[in-house]
Amino acid sequence: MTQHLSEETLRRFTEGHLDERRAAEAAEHIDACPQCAARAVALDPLAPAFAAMPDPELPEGFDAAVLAAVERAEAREAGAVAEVGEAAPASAPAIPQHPSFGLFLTGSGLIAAALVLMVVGGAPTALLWKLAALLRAVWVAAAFVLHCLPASSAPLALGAALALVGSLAALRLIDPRREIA
Amino acid sequence: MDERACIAAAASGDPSARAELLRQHSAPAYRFCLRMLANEEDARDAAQETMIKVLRNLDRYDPAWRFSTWVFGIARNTCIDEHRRRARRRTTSDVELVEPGASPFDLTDRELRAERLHEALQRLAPMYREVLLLYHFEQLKYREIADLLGLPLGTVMNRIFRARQKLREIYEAMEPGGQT
Repeated sequence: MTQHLSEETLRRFTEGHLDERRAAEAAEHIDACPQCAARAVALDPLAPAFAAMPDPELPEGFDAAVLAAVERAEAREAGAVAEVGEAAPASAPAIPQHPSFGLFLTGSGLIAAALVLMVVGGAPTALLWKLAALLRAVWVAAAFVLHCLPASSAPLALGAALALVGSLAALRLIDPRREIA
Repeated sequence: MDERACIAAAASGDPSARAELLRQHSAPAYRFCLRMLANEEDARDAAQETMIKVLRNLDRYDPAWRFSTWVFGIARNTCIDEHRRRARRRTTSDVELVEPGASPFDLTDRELRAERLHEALQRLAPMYREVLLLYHFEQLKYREIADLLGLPLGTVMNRIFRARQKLREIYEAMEPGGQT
């Protein structure tokens, strides 16, 4: 600790009349020296008024309200974490469901039957072909929703969309030839 | 339990350590907010928000700071936010926010001076008021105020000198015979 500040230095310091370097030195000294700090405060003409200002009382229940708010916030956070944990447990990542393999087989079987009947010819061919195409359209749409959208896989989505359009064309819901004409 | 151990225990959720931190730091935080905002309700809200932030951010506390200085830093930022909120919802000036004091006939000379100083402080610009509150009432050191406000030491000293000067002018103008 350096020597205490003189009365003159303290007065000039509190009135802001010291140059920057000496003021900084005085401030460093005052920060470290409680006696000089008290003397500096006492030099302020408003010191008695400062001393007379009462300290306001803390409102009743202040600390209890803070603790309750903190506990509520923590409980909310803990609840949010638990909810996230229940929705997607880390040990069991969600696996997209495949559309029914049976539906695929049925659609493919019907298409095969339709092809056979087309060779044989006759009125039932068109009906069977439409039925087969309808099932394929349903299957492709289901595959599109369950696989392509969540994975955001552009090539798969494009392929599924083309297959769907093809199936719909087969159902004569979209007729490219008619549009060209 | 020393302060550092108390902070560590409170950070890990120990209720008695939290209560101890509140016991030590709620009153200064409330006092600072009340003198900055000059409104009991706003001050209570700001001080509670301050202490909630303190308890919920103990893991961010840097021991290079005195803990009380860190708390005042949070209180100051909360008061600034409250000032902004208040400016949006009210059009009255700071002067009008001063609560009416007791009749001068009910007060002793000492109380009158304190009342006048309180009013003079409220008329001071917030940038001057806060340095005086931190220095004179909360006994922060010049260096701590400089760190808290993020200002060079010289700027803080100048601000305190100017704040004292302005406060004295306002105070003297409010004295009987002064030009209020």
